[in-house]
Amino acid sequence: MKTFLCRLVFLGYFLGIGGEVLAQEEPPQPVIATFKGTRLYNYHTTETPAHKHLEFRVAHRFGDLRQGYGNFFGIDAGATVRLSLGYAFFPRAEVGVERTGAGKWWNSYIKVRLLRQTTPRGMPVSVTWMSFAFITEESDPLRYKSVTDRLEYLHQVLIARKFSKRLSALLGGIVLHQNMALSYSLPNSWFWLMAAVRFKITRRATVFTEGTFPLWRRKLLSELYPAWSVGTEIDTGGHVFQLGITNADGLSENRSLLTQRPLLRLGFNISRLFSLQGGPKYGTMD
Amino acid sequence: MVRNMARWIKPILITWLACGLRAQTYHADSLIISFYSDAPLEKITAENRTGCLSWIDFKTDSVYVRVRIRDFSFPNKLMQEHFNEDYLESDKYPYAHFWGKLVAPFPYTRPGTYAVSARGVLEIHGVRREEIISGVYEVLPDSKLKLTGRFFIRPADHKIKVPRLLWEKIAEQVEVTFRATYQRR
Repeated sequence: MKTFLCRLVFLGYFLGIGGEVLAQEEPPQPVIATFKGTRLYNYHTTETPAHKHLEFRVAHRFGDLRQGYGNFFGIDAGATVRLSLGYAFFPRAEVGVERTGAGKWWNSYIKVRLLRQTTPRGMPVSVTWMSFAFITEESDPLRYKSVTDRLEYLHQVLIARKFSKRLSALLGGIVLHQNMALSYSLPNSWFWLMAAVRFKITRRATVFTEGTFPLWRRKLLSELYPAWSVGTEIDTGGHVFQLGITNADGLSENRSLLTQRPLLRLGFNISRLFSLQGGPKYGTMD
Repeated sequence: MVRNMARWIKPILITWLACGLRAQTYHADSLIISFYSDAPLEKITAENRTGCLSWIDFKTDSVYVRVRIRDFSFPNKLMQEHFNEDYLESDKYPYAHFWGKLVAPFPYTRPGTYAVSARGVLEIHGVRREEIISGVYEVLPDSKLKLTGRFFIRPADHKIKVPRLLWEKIAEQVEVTFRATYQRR
C-alpha cells in the first residue's frame, strides 16, 4: 500500500510539475561518429575533426603483395608515405596540407560539412564538399614545361548515412582536372562515382570497403581500373589505425583514382587528434 | 458503490495534492555537473552546463535531477565521441536520472548554510542503483537556494565497460561535482 501511494504521489508529481518540462520535445540531434576517421582508407569520409582540433595522419603503402614471400609480400620494397595535417578552423570546416612521397605531390584541401544527419528525425544524410589543389615537384622536363602544368584540381561531394550504430555507407562524386593531361589521347577532366561501407564489429574495431568507379568513354575503359580497398580500423582511444589492402597505384587522390596498373598492396594509416581548444577545467566552475 | 468511490478518492486526492505541491517547488535555474576521472596516466574532466534540469519539492521532500548525457563537454572531442558512442551509449540512454527523497526535512526559508542528503535511485546507462547523495545547501536572503556537492560513481556499477585495448585510462571511481541555484516557481 505504501509503495502504491508513493507511486501515485510520484505520478501526480510528474504530471503536475514535471509534465510541463518533460513534455517539451527534444530538438533533433546531429548524428556523431558516422565514420571513425576523416578518411576511410584512400579517400575522405564526410567527417571533419572537431572544432579547433588538429589531425595528424601518416599513410603508408607497401609494394605489390603478389611479389610473394621473396619480397615479404611487398614490404621489403619499402613504403611510400603521405603526411597530412588538417585543422578545423570552424565547427564544420577543415583546412589541410599534405605531402605524398609517390609523385612528390604537395596538396592542400578545404572540406566543408554542408549538411549533418540528425536523429531521430530531420536530415536523413550528411553531405560534405571538398576541394583539393595539387602541385608536383617531380622533375619531368618533357611533361612539365611551366608551373601551371604541374597543377591539378579535385573536387568531390560526399553523401553519407549512418543507418545504425554499426552500419554507415557513403556515396560520392569526384571530378579531377589536370592542367596537363596524362597523354595526348586522354582528357584533362575525369569523373568518378565512389561508394564506401563500414561495419562496426566491436566497439573498437570496424571493417570497411571503398571503391571508385570511373565514368567516361568506353574506349578508355581498359586503361583505367576502379580503385578499391578493404580493411579494418582499430580505435585505440588515442589513435585510429587503419590496415588495408588496395589495388590503387599511387597514394594521393589524384593518382590513386587514375589507376592504370593495378597492384595489390598492403598499407596502413595512423591518425592522431590533438585538441587545441581550452576546455572546461576542473574546479573552475563560475 | 462506496467501494467504487473509495477507489477514486485516493487518486483525486493525490492529484489535487500534487497540484498544491507546486507552491513548495524549487526549480534549478542553473545546474552545472562535471566529472573528473583521475587515473595514473590521464586525468579526464568534462562539464555539463546546458543539459541538466532539476527540481526539489519541500512539501514531499522529493528531488529530481535529469542530465542529458550528450551535453557533457570534453576538452578533447575524440574523448567526447568515445564517451557518447562507446561508454554511455547516449543514443540508447540519452539521460541520467536521480529520483530521491531528502533524508531530513530542510529549513528552506531560513537563510543559512546547511548540510543536506538525499536518498534515492540513480540511473546512469540504464542501470539503476540506490545512492545517497550529499551536499551543502545555502539559503540566500533573496530566498534562492544554492546547492553544491560531490559524490563518486564506479563506472563498473553501471555496466559501463572499458575495452582493454585502450589508451584512455579511466579511473575506477569517477568524481562527480554539482553546483546549482534553485528558485521558487
